[in-house]
Amino acid sequence: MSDSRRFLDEAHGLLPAAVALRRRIHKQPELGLDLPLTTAAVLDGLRRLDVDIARGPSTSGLIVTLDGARPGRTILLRGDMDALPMPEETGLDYASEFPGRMHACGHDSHTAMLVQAVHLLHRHRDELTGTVKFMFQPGEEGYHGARLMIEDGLLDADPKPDAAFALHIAPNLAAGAILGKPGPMLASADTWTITIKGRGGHASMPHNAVDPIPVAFEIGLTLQTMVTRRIDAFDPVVLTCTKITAGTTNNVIPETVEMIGTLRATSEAARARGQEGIRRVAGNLAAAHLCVADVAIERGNPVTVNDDAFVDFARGVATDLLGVENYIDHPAPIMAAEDFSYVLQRIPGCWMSLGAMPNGRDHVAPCHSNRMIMNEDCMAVGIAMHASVAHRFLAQGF
Amino acid sequence: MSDLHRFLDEARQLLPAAVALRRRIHQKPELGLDLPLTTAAVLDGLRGLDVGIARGPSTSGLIVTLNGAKPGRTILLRGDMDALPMPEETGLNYASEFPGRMHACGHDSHTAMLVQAAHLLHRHRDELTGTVKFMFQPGEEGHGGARLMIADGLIDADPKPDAAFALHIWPGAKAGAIVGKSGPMLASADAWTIKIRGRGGHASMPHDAVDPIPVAFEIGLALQTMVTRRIDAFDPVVVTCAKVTAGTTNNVIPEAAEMVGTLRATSEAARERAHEGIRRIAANIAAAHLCEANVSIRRGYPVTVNDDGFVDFARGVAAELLGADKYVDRPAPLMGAEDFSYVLQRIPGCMMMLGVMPEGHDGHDHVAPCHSNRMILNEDCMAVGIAMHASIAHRFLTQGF
Repeated sequence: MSDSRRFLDEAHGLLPAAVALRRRIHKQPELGLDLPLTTAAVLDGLRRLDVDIARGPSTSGLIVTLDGARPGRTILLRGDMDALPMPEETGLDYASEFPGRMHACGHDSHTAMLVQAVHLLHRHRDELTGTVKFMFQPGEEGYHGARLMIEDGLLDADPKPDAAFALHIAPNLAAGAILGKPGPMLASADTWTITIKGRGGHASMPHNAVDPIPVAFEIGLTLQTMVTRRIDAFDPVVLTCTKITAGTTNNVIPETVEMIGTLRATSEAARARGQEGIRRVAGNLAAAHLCVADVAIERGNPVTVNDDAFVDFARGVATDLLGVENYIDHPAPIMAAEDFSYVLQRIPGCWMSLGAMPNGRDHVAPCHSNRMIMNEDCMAVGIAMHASVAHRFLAQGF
Repeated sequence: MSDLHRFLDEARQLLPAAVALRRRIHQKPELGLDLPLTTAAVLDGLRGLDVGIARGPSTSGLIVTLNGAKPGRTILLRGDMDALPMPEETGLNYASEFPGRMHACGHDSHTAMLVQAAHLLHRHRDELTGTVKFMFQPGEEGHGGARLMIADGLIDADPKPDAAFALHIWPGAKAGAIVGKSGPMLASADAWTIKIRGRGGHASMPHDAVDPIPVAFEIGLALQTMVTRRIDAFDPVVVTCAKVTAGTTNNVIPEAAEMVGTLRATSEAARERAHEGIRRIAANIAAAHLCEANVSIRRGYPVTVNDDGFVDFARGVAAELLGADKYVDRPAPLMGAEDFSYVLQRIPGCMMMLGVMPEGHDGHDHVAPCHSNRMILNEDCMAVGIAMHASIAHRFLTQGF
């Protein structure tokens, strides 16, 4: 029996505690950077463990440090903690008690798995050569919590981690499977706003006004042509206009149109080309029709780039722990985004998915759905995976 | 000197009363079909006159009937009375006292001119052979007031008018000028709504969703191509998408997009062709992208068609009253719309414009148009409007058109 297999057995023993903690957090979802109830649940979960706890000024996030018996390498394991501003409609008996908030992205389970991984590794601390840091991070859903914890110095604090690892549940992936990919794993996500200004007037006399609405339509379509003509098909971007607002009634030409959307890319080169294209298309099409376009691009999370060698290492851990049939190499990146990308810009490591499909199902509501549900038993795999990656990394590096 | 010139002199004497009444109405603008304050101002203005007053159940509108000394023809003169739901920013000392309401289309002056025209004709009733009906109409601004007064039987009541005339002020035309055109004068106005339904999803994975927003964009552009390719350039339409609404935030593809707009035409043939075009384009472009389009077209006012013979008649009256240089023939219709069109569908007649360009403008600079929050008018021109109404009625009763 490999080292890994005993971690899986022990993780199964810890599953009831993980389920209880996950449900406690699930019932009281918190948003953003300051999560007092969730942090209290984590601290309750860690009680009596001999660990060090560090905090920073910008968020309620925690770095929990477990020192092994001997000095050595340092690895960081990360779990995010925040929920989404949306109503829950799962019908679960432990559904959200807070209207308009839901743990629809599984961060409740990420936190619960990480707490139990601390327990598992704490039991084996005598075998550990080095240090494990557990990053309990708020504000992943658009609040840049990871970047703020880095800016607070929490990541670089001595001993600085030599590697970093995170798991994210995937409700539509076979229960207990691990999915990974070397190189780009997730996309960058930038939010763009284009404001087109014309001149208002009566809808019956467009020649006396400068109607910005058809100009917005042309820009919206030309952005898609820009994607297919200016972007390498093998280094793709996704550009989506998700919101458009213009006008008040049927007989008045409005002065302005506002378009809002997202730009996703999996390389900085494609991202920069996509941004230039948005500015060029909007500016010139507006000018062609006597309008002025104002373009604002708010840079969001960068591309999440997995370290190739660390993926090889983690793939080996997963196949030892779960069997080769339970590791899946994803052929292409996913166009979703993650702020663990900021951690991976500083520390080699990887972000992988953990299959959490409910038993007896072949399709369920995905992350960010108001009906998202998950298979809680899979948390045992996640706990064991965290512990195994850390244990083996401290023992032999990657 | 033409016998009409005395009407212009007398109208100038009535101008102070017209200005006072117009300002009273301007200060308290009312919306829609029930205008109690405006109606009270009209009734105050008519006090002491020997006229019949008829009302209907659907609106607060009035038909005021003045019988001449001898029976004969009947003519209807119309003034609309309602204001617009918009804030006034003229800075006038008699500006609207009601926030969010403004007489920005000059209906206050139309009403005031019509009241004074009743006075003027009342003075000359002994000369009149026939009947003058004054139509004080609410709800012109999209409420179909004229249609409802027709439905109430107020227009067809005995004696049914043989002709109908209306004046609309126009700040962009020289003060005191009369602008007319035979045939189509104003457009039809239909409000259309296109709802495109796709399937919502995550903005990063459009292939897993069916994004309705680019489909709305294609429809919006194809509608303009439809206008230039399927509509006779000499029988034009204007299609404007005036409002588009879709989505909530930056990372969610919405399920639906909604477009709202107007269709203007000056013939029923072009109007029908454009209706078909809107439906065809929306449905087929939506289908091409796996979406569904729901199109609804709310038919608004029909084309306002002036009677050619009556325009000739009214042009002659205007030239005689004001001088040939003061009558302007418009080469083309205006794409605005009017519910006086319903009256002109039943009774031959015409609508003409009365120039009210404020002093200090020359027509080459920008003058705030009707429906602007800064629209102002030259009140002195109301004397021309009063005289024009009275002259049209007097001459028509005397000799027809």
